Amino acid sequence: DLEPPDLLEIFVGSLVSEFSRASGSGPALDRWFSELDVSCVLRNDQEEEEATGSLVGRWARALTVMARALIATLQDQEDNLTGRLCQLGRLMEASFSKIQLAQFAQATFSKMLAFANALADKPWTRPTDKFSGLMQLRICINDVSDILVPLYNEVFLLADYSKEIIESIVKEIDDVFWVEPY
Amino acid sequence: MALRLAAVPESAAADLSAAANTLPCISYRDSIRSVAAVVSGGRGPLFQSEDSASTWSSSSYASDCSGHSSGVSAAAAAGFRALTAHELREVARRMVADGYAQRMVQAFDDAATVEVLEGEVVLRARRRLGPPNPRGAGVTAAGEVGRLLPVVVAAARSGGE
Repeated sequence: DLEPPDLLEIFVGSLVSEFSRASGSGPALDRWFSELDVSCVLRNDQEEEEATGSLVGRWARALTVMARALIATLQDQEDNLTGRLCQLGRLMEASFSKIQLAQFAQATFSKMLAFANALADKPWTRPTDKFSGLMQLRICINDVSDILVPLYNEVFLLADYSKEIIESIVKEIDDVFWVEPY
Repeated sequence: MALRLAAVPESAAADLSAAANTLPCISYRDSIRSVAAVVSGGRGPLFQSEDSASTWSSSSYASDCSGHSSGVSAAAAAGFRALTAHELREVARRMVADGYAQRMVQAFDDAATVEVLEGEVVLRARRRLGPPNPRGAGVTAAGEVGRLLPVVVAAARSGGE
């Protein structure tokens, strides 16, 4: 078992690495996206792939499963911590686990939302295809925002860094669908 | 026809690295693809562009069109979404019950720690992951929806393309 000072060291190391990482990608994300049938989101050649309703469908299904799985992981973490550690240890462990989860969630959703924006730039066969595809993107992101509320509320209370990560996720969701008032 | 997902026992957690590389007995990818196949029979309402466009323009934007057929299409779309959401929630639950999601989070974090230990890290100012997307600049999905709306409404009113 790691003692609190070791946990803190690993925690700081993770933060430093996260700040400096160029792309946020890596083997874990590759496996995660592949298993969710959206490897194309991480590939550099995504511009070559034509935008289609089926591509949007795959993206939407993956985003839904990602959000559901990460929220359920957060809830599992809370259940597992009940009554197992002294108060200080529990708080530190809880903080560490949730920040790990928040970092992973940010990397995941950043990639997915960047891809959603890229779809707006892709060639589509017809305007009606593009319209229905983008509407599905929007519906899915609205649903996922609702699913992620518990993660936002929970992690928000822990640390400024977590707050910034979650606000970054929320801002990125907002950016994708931001429209100039007229 | 409901998709039945068999329960997969959680794998031994002795070696985290090895566990993270092991795919589950039943692939989540195949389950996710099966959701689409079962729910839509290959093509659901939302993937038939003309039907989908008609549903959106009739139900959401064109107040003068309230025919019975568009109501049926809207109901079918809503049912499709509900069933899909249910099936995908089950895939996510299985992913968590198997311990797969937590192993992904841990593997992601372990990679970060290894990078620190290998001395590859250079301290830099914080920056966002992924490409920049400043507000008001460039094409966004919402902007495209706004731009396409008149085209779609006009097409619907003129009886399609």
